Amino acid sequence: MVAVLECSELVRRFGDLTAVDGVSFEIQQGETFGLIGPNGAGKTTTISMVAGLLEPDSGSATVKGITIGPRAIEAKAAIGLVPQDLAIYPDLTARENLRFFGRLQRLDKAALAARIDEVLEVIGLTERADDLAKEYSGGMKRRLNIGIGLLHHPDLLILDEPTVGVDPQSRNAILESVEALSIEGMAVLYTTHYMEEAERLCDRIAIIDHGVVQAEGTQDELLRLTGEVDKVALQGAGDLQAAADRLREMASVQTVGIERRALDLTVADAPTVLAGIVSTAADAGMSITDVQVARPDLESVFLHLTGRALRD
Amino acid sequence: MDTAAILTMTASDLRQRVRDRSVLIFGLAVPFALMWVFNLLFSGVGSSESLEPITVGVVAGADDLVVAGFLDVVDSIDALEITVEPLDGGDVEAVVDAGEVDMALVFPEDFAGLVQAGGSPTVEAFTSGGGTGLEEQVVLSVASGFLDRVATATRAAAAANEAGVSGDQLTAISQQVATAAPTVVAEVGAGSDEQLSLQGYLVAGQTALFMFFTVGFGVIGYLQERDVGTLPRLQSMPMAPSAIIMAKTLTSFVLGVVATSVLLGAGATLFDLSFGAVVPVAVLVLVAVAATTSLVLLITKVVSTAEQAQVANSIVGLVMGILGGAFFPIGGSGWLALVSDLTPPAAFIRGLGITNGGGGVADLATPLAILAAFLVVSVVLWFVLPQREAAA
Repeated sequence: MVAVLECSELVRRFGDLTAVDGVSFEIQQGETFGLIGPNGAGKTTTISMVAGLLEPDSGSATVKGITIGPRAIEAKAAIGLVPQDLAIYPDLTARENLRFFGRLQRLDKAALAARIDEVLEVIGLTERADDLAKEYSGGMKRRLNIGIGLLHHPDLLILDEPTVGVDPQSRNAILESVEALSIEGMAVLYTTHYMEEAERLCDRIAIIDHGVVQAEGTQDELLRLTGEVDKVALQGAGDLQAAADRLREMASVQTVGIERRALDLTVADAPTVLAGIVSTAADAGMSITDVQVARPDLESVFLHLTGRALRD
Repeated sequence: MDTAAILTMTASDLRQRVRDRSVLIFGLAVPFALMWVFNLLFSGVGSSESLEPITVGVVAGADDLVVAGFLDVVDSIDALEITVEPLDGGDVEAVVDAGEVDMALVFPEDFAGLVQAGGSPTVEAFTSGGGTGLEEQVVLSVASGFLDRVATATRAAAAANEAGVSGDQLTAISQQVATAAPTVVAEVGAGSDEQLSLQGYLVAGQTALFMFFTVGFGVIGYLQERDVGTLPRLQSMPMAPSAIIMAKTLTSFVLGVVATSVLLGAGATLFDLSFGAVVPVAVLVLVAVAATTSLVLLITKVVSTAEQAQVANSIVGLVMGILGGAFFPIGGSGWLALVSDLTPPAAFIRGLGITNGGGGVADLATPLAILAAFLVVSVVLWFVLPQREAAA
């Protein structure tokens, strides 16, 4: 299967600074790929090359097998870019913004009118379609910003920090839209420094720092890189010693510590074995009043890989 | 070439400029208001330039041929309505003071005879209260000019008398010298013919000056797109990157041509002017707008932000405007006048002077060459110079 996007050893320098240094990854159809890293890590420069805004100094990016670049018209037509900054015209209405960019995308006039109505529905702006964009709330502007990227049914949708400065309700609406697009088969390249968004949306993730991909894989694959395990705390009363002994016999349980009214366990893959842990402890005579699970997250993965916090 | 994309972007830009009224204000309303104000200032608001009719009392001998010649001259003046009232003599000053006539001229008895004898006859003038209004000054000037010519005739008569010419012939010669049309006439030359009237100059100057501001709304928009974040999205569209700057340039050109045409048309209507035939004026406008657009395009290449571009454009526009005589003509023949002549506003104003004088496209060669030179140099520099990036 041909990857929708294939980046190979992308390099881009600005003077003495190497902003992107040998970045490679690929995205399949229907896959949401996360590019996470702190500000200045090289995310936007990578996206600029992938979207055809910048020519790489070396390496290449192909969209559906076509090398992308500033003059690669056919490749650009397969891409929908949602820049981090609001890329809309405030003195045009939502409909006029969509019509303008739809024409630049060379959409047929009749098809464009129908597609504009569809997109307005998707981004929830049908009722305000003929209001000037400058009269919208921040969340509405963000949704319009995304809608423009969707207009021409791109094979690859690039979202660069699409939820920056958005209220929680609008953020959730945006994330739901991205999930729906992925289900429809669109390949999505998503950059963010919000770990919870990457964890929720992305099938695979690349962690980038100083222009270099530090690690790439599924979330579980990345979490395993830390060498950390899940922690489960069982609060309760009864025969805690008997419960601890029985739990130590489980293959998935690595350690069990006994506190005054709780058991602290380290386990591999807590979500899978949690039910067995709870029933085993209960069978051993422990009456459980509370269960807490702590898993390593992408933040800890980044810390593990770079030695510093993601938002430093 | 991405013609459809260029036209789409141009149409959208024009719609937004009209919608936010920026062009209407800075491209049309402000220059038109300045034209109007400058016209009031420079043409003397509240003063009347028209001459009132005047009645001139004349005391002269009956059938005096030289005085009759003078009255013929007076009668031929179109700009001032003069009524000649023959007076009997006596206390002429009292008649004037009584308001029976506005002024009086007293020719000596046998004025023609005195002229014929080669004497120096004197004509007395009386005005009301001893003062002279504009109308009285006109009559006195005419009389003075006539008497100068009579003096010439007198000398001719004296010479003729010595040569034995008869008295009747001398009188006829004197009258002919005094009243004949000049044998040497200064024709209005091309240089003079190409001068615009005061109002015409104001309209042309303000139009040339504000051309810079109007075209700025197009090409500076490229930097605004970058500043507000829409440029990356435009660059990601399936079109050549050059289509964006071409659309902005086209926007500038359209705005410039429309605003310039409206200003010239409205100025001509308001001040009752004509700038000449449509075709040469149109050619001049098109080339002037293209040259100005290229200059502003060059400015966008050497600055980092739209704000810097607007400031730089204002400075360049004002310097060019002042230097090019948009507010007042730069006189003299030194280096400053030479530099002034080589600016786009000066070339534009000069071109309108030529068309105003009836010149055609071929007569516009010099101003068109200056404007074309600006266009070529600016475009070449635009291609050669690297684009300054906005600070991160």
